[in-house]
Amino acid sequence: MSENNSNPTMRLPKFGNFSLSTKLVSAFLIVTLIPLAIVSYLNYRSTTQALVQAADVKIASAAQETANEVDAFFRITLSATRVKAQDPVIVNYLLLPADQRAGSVEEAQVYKLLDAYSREDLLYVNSIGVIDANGKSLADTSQAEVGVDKSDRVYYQQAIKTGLPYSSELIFSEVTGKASIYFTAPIRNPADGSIIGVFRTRYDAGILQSIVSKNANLIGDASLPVLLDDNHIRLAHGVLPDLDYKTIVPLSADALAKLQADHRLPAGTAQQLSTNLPEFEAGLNNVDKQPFFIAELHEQGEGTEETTAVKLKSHPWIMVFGQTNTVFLAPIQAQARTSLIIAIILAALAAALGFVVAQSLAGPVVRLTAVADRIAAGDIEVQAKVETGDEVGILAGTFNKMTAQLRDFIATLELRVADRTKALATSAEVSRRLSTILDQKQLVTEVVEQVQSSFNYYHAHIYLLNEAGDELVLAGGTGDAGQTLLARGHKILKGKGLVGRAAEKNVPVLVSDTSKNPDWLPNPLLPETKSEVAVPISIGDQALGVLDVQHNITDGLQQEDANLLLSIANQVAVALQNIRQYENTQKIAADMGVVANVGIATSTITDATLLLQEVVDLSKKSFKLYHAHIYLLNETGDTLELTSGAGEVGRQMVSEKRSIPLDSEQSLVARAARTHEGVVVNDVTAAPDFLPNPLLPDTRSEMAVPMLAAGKVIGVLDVQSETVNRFTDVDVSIQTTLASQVAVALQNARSFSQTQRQVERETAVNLITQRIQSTTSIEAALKVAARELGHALGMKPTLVSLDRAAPTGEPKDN
Amino acid sequence: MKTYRFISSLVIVAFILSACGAAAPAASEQLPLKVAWLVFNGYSPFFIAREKGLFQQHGVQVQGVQADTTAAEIIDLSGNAADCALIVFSDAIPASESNDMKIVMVIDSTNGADQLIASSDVNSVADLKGKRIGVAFGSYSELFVRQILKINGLTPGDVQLVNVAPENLAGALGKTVDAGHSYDPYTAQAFSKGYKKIASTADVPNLVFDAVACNNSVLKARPNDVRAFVAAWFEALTWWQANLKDGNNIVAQATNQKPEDISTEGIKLFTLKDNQSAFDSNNPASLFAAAQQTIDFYATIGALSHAPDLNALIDGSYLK
Repeated sequence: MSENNSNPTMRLPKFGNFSLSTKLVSAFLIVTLIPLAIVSYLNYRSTTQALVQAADVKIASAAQETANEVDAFFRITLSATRVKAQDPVIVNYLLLPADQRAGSVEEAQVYKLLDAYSREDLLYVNSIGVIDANGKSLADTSQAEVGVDKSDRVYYQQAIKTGLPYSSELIFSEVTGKASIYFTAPIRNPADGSIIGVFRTRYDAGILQSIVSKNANLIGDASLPVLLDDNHIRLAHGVLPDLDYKTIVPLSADALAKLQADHRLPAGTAQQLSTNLPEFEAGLNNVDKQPFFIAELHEQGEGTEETTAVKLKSHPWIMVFGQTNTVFLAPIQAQARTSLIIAIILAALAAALGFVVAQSLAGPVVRLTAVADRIAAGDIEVQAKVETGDEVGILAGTFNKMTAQLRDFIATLELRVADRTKALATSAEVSRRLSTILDQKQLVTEVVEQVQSSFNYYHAHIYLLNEAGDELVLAGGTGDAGQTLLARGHKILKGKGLVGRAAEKNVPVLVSDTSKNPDWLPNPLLPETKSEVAVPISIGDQALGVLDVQHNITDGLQQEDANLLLSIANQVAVALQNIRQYENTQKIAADMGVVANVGIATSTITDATLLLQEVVDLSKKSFKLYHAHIYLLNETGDTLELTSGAGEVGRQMVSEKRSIPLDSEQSLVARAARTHEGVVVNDVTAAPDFLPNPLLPDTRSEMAVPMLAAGKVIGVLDVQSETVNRFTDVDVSIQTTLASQVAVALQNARSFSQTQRQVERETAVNLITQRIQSTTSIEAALKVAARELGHALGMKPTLVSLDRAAPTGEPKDN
Repeated sequence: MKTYRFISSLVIVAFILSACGAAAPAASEQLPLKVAWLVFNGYSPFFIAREKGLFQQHGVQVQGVQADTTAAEIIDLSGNAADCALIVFSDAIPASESNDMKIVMVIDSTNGADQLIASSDVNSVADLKGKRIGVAFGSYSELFVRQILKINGLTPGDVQLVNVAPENLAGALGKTVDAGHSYDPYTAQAFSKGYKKIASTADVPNLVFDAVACNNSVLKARPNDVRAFVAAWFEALTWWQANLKDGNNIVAQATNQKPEDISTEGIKLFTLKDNQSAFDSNNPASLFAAAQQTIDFYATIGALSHAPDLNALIDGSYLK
């Protein structure tokens, strides 16, 4: 690619193109860092969860502890108020009639008692007093309270109503704006249990801030409690008292107005009396379902807090406790730093190890690659150095074996090419020679000699299938062994041995190492055979024989030899077929010549008997038959009578006047006459209904052909041979032709004979007529006629009588 | 292959590490349910169930913690020396202020067993005016006597209430008190000195119940143990009623009494059915009604800081 049209975008190389050392270093890093990352991540998660869970346990515990402390304050203070309300000094003061109380001894005792009580907590208790049953403050440590009507106060009303002690919500004074908590308890008449007044203690609400703030940092840095009332107004804040009496989120105007009217909030706007922490508010509203939540507890904080909230028992208040996440999760950050350092160290170690391993692995591979490059460049003499015993070392050894084989291959290549050329030349030579050979024996001999000598095989021979097709008969073989076997008439059953199998299956059968083939049978005449191949000589599916080649070298015959020999065998098959067709044609021509000669020889014979005798004699002689004879159909047409037979046997059989009924089922002769077609029995021993003739004991095959003239059967020519399968369809055709010629000649001879008799008869009649006419009297004429007719007809003495009733003088034939 | 082995090793190591990190679970061993009791014939099913192994049969191991007084039992509850206690129900009201507990079963109501005993010259409650009456201050004993006074038109101011435990009344009679509250078997000692009964809980029915109270922490942690305890109790009660003599022998042996002294006279033992009705807040004779009278009593004597949440205190769910 030229610079002009190069793609401007940078293309990353594929991983597969990286060097081996880069890949190994990368693999080491991946294998080291990924598990480390996974373990670190899992560790991070589990540690975080553990830290959060631990923090949750701590904040829940701290929240409960702080809530318990606030509850304890209320419970103890309430109990104390209850018990103080039963003090007989107070009871007796209240049991005085109202108008006797002021200035009484009991009143002075009450004040002393109240002063003593106030010393319990000089800081937060700012008023302790006694209210009568009508709500009027009778005595109080705060003089401002004395005489004030408290009957509208909730704390008074509740004590009267329930008969039980009471602790108030935070109440903001209309006058001072300060927040207070009131504890009250009914004072009872011990005689009847009736309520005669209310004992009251007022606490500065700062007591709550005092209790709660002590638990700031209770469970560690940045942990704090926050006490909220049921309107989520902060009653106490662990670290920021400025937030006291402010709501978490701004209140609606109505809600603010109502709370201020109930003295539950000081004067001020919603903005002044609230923070804006909606997450905190949402967490509180959902705390029943999700006890732990993350929220910002105050705007000045450092991030968010893990938070929980528990309810108080003494009031419908909530104690919130939280701790800044970053504080309790600090260990995880330390752990992350440690993990990072470990990861860096491991990555460096892995990279170094990967580099070292890569060098030890890649070095031999790189050197081996260089060797391979040199081999690719044509230097097959180069040797790879086997440096290790591992797979790379094995590869180097294999490389060396490969180059050795390559050298060997190249060295033997020319020899192999020469061999192949010679093989092709032999094949061509065989082909060329075969085309000129018309003799089967010569062909076989030529082929085996040529094959054996050209390829320097140990032995070669050819078997041909017999006519029955069940045996392979040796047709030619090389050397003395071949001659000996040929002389023995060596034959092999089809399907047996290498040769038999090759003929049966019509495929080459190769045994490259006879010692390894238990089925291979040695031939004593060929003791050195180490390998053998039998290839079928066939035309299409029809096997004609087998070319069998043997070698005295183990593995001397291979598949390529089998292929070459199969090519030669196919040529031999074609040549064999040509020879057979040639021989067949020759035979037909000879047979036709015989037919012509018989025709010529018999054409001049007018005597039928002589004619037929000549035909059978000539046929037997010319066709080299065992016997020949002719049956003629008699005048009634129902019997075939033996008319002539060749030789003495024939004459004897004729003299015996042998005949065959035309309807004889078993007779070949009768069948040929009936069917007008030639009938052949090529193996009489196999024909169950064949009737042997004692005079012809050597008959093995027989053929009967009809003698047809003008479409009519006049007889049958029957010929017999001492050989099985002597007669073919061609023979039937030739003999039928001969028989037909003989039939015509016989007809001619018969016509000639009949014509000759007719002439003789007419000559005799003419002579008698002339002699009768030369007479002068009837009597003389009758005498002459009687004498001549008797002479002509061979009768004597002749009597002539005249029939007077005859209308005409025409004589009657007798 | 090597990568596969490496990953396999990593996974195995991770498993081993995580297994090491996991805390081995402690072998679970059934804790006994510690039950505080004192000698009272109404508690007999407890001794019978324990002796006959009915608690074990129901799947709970019970360990008895004997106390002398109901107050001692509540102190045991409060200090976790006992998980449950067989106590007088009304005593549970003030105790519930400082102790997180529930009433889970009613054992009985006294219907004559708690008695007001007086000297022979006192013929009626009205005759007690100006007399010293021994009661256990701040307990059901005071509640009972105040109710008897109330229904007889007297106030506590008409008499002088003296703090005497019912168990010690017989000894105080004629010395520091003229009359007082006690119960069987301690009444027998007073009767033997010539004192007599002038009123009993039969006069203020559905006021004094005995019940099983359990710490809430135990109820949350082991609710099935408590259910098993309750079921075994009822089975023991049924057996006792069918085998009174054998049952009495068991109780006598357990409480160091004579079998003939075991009597349930004046005690109505509560079956499961009775319990179901006692835990029904709509029933005027239920625990809830008795609780309200008790709250009023304790409020009157200034012994209560809060009215307890009765729906939280009285819980019949463990009867099932």
